[in-house]
Amino acid sequence: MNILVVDDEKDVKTLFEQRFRKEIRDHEIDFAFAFSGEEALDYLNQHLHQAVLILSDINMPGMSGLELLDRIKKKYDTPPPIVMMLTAYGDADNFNMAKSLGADDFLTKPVDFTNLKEKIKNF
Amino acid sequence: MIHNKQAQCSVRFYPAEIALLTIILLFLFSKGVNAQNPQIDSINRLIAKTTDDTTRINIYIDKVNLLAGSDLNAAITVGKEQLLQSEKINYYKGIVMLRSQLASNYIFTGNYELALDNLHFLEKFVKPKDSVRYSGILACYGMMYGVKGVYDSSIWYYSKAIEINERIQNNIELPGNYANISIGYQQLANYPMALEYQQRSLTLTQKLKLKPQQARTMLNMAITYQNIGDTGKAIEMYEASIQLAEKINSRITQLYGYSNLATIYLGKKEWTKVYDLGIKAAELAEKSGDIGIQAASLSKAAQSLAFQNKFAEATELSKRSIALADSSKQPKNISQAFQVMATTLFLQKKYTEAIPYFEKSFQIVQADPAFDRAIVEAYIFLSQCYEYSGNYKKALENYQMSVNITDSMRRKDNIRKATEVSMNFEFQKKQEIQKAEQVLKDSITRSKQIALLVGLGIFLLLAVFAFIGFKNKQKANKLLKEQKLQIESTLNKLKSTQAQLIQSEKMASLGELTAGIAHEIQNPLNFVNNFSDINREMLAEMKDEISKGNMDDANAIADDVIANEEKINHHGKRADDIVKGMLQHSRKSEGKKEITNINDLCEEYVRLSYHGLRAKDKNFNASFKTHIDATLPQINVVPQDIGRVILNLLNNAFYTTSERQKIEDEGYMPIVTITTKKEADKILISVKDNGTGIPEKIRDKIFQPFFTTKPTGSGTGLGLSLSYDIVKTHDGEIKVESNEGEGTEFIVSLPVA
Repeated sequence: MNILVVDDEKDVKTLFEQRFRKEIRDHEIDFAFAFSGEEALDYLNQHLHQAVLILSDINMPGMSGLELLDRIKKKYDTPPPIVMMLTAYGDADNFNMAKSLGADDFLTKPVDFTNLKEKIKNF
Repeated sequence: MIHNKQAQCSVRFYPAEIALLTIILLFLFSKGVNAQNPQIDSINRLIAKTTDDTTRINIYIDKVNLLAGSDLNAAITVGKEQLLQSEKINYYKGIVMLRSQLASNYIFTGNYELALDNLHFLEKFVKPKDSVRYSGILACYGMMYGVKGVYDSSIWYYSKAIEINERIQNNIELPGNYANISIGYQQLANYPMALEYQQRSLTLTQKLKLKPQQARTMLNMAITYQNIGDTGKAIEMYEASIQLAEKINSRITQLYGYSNLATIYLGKKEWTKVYDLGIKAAELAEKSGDIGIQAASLSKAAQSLAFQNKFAEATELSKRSIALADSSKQPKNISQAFQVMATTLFLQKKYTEAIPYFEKSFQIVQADPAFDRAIVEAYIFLSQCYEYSGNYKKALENYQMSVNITDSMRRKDNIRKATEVSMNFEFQKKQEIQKAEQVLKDSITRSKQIALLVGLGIFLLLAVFAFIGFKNKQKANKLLKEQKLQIESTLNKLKSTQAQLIQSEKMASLGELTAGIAHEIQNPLNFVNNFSDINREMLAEMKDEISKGNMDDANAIADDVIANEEKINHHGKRADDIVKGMLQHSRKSEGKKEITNINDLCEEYVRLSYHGLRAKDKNFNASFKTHIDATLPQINVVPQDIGRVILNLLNNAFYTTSERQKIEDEGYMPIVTITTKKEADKILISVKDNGTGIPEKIRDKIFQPFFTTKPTGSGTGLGLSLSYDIVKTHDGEIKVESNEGEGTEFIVSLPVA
């Protein structure tokens, strides 16, 4: 299972690698990381359909997570990748916006990794 | 012809009387004469109240003065009584004053011997240094000689008195002295001198507002004019004098005015006027106890009656006149009275009866014959009387007498006429010179006055201007002071307000940042929490591996744990920095300069700014780019201050892009770029946006305090202003380039050194 994580915080990569070290070691999940919306789109262009799940931060300089969501959902419609939004601002506006743009799930930081693992396993 | 001559005779007759009367009058001059019953009454009351002897005597002296103006006999009686009192207590002033008064009052009543007694006594009695009294005695002698017709002596005494009085400026006596000496001159036909002194008297009395004396001076001037033959002027003066005298109730002046006017009208043969005036004068004279003038006035009245052919009344008045004249003991008056009687008889053609009266008349003045026309006429009448009664020898004698006298008269007359002419000439000349001088003086005075007035006007104007200016200046100064105080207090208020505003601006921008800061702190804290969680798990795993003996695996885990610990440490520090920065930011600017990495500062604040904006407006997103010049040297600045500048510029940049986004299509991509660059000895920090741009017209206002384009309440308007100040205090510059609708670039340049 390929998961693309999009966040402007670079240590998110280390964190995910640590949190999912067993899954990575057991090759249950493959992680790819992008540090901005633009990078994420580049990755998707190069690795079409490789990422089945995209985890994206919302608040990023430049292209925001919501914009990225919109683009992904519009561009890659057959079949659209699963996009889960991660944000520090768990407010209604962001939630509604994300939902209307076609976000598959909405998680607030700090990430509850146990919960996240459960969700990933269910996909 | 005869009538005419008779008239002239009468006129000529009277100058003697005039002289006599005026001299008497002028004596009174020196005494404030205006007896009124209320005044006498009040003096009597005052006397009754007074117990002190000398004070009482002094009051009596005043009373005698008053009485002398109206009742000479009463004045003499009172004077004698008080003289006794004064001598009893040996009161020097009382003795001198009362004896002087007695002397003069005796002179008025023709009692020269008693007058002389007093004067001789006073001459020895008066203290040598008592100039006032001494001059008074001299004047009294002068008056007495004047009354007696010895004018040279009179003038001599008066001139001595005047000399003293002018020296001691005795303005009380001087008017009288002037007037009386002028009588002497008048009698010696020295009219210019007479007028000269009268003029002095008039000027002085007018100046001192001595109305009774002024009235008398006018009377005497009238007499002088009368003597010159200027009847018109004389009448004018008499009338003026009488008018004034009536107003101030000066009986004696009125008396002589009437008397002398009667004489003038006698010359004009206006008989009814002569009679009226004569009777008036006689009545006043009787009231005043002046027998001499009473007799003379009755003589005139009688004469006017005779010429109106009212012989019975005329004879009766003449008889009374003779009786009175007799008791007056004034030879000229007696002579005149007999002459009038003689004339009355002559006109009735009672020539033989007239002869003894004429003879008697001449006989009385034999010792001091007056060679005037009156005498000439009388001799002619007498001659005619003798002629008609058949005594031709006597007629011829008397006619011869008249011719002789006429001859000498003519010479005298010629002299007089010459004097008159020369005097008139002199007088005119003097007047003209005086006039010319006056004109010159006037013109000088006028021009002086004009100059003075102009000067004064200018001065006043200047003074007014100066005053106005002064007032205005004062006002202005006051206003300025008030304004200064106001401004100072306003300034102080402003300063404190500014300090508050700066603080609130800081707090406001901090508020804006709160969300960003929260986010910024949240992220490291999440990392700290997550990595510590992971480490706990990993350490448990490591324990398992060790217990299994898989030391390699355990080692690998331990490496990860160490790496994670570093992460924890890093993010802990990061949060710490953010909190510290936040505190620094809110703190008042007392920051010290320190070596600062501008690149780090930019990155830190760009994130704070971005997240702040994001937190506020969820719908807005903008991309930001940082173009960092890695070779940028660290510089010495107050980091939180420069951070504030960067923050302000970034906030504005994000704000303007968000504003533009509201009006733009979807294709608009908001972007804010922060660039650092080294250029020569400067560091440039550029904050560039593609927002709305700054309209040209407000571009020069953006650095002004409180200028803001944000809606009310949204911005303090201090951001750029404070930024400008901060940059200035760092010896740097802040520049702006902007195109409306395209975007703005702020460039901050800071010196490296």
